[in-house]
Amino acid sequence: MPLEKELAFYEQHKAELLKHYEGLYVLIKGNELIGAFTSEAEAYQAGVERFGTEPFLIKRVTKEEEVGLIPALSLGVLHARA
Amino acid sequence: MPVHNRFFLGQGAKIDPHVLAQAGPLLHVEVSVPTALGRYLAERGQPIPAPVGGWALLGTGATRSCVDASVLQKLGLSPVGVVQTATAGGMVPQYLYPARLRFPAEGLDIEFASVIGVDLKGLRIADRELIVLIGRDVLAHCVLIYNGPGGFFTLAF
Repeated sequence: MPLEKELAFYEQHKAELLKHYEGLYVLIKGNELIGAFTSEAEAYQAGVERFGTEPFLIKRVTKEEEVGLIPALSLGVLHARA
Repeated sequence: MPVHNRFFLGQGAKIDPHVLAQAGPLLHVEVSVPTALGRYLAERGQPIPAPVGGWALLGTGATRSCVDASVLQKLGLSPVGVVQTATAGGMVPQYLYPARLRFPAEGLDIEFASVIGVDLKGLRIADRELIVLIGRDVLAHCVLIYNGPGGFFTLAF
């Protein structure tokens, strides 16, 4: 599953990341924090320059996780692929 | 702020409110790789995947814009995140992908750091293949007026 390692790393270090980078976007590859950026676009630019087409994680450091609402998904009209 | 009116025509090329009611506010869209990735590929002499064309439905219901997962795969895009989405079967994690969306008729070009990859395969509205759902992340920068009785909508950005 893509990003499994990166998501696990984020969860393990979330408290520490919140302390230093709350509100910023962190770029994570494997078990490594590559950097923190003020925008998602800057983080993506840095990720592409370093890792090209390989998957890498960009995550906004927040206490509460975002929940995406798509009515058609909620109603089962569209299908989610985990 | 450019203002775009989209009229929906029925028989005899007359504005028909029923056509808008059936189709919804649709725009022609082209999905392509983000500029940063296109530049990375070009610098290495690698082919840049051709944009994928289809239709986008404007909606006020979705928090974020969504793109059909098969389109994102065709473009060779890797996920950059995951978001929990509320579905009929409970919360489901969905991958987030970077993408560039171009609306040729409106001259609108948007670089998305992340859109939600969803399964829109085979979803057709009024004989048009839907590949994008435009959410409130885009509408946050626009004025959208849906004129049902008039059979048109207005988008200003």
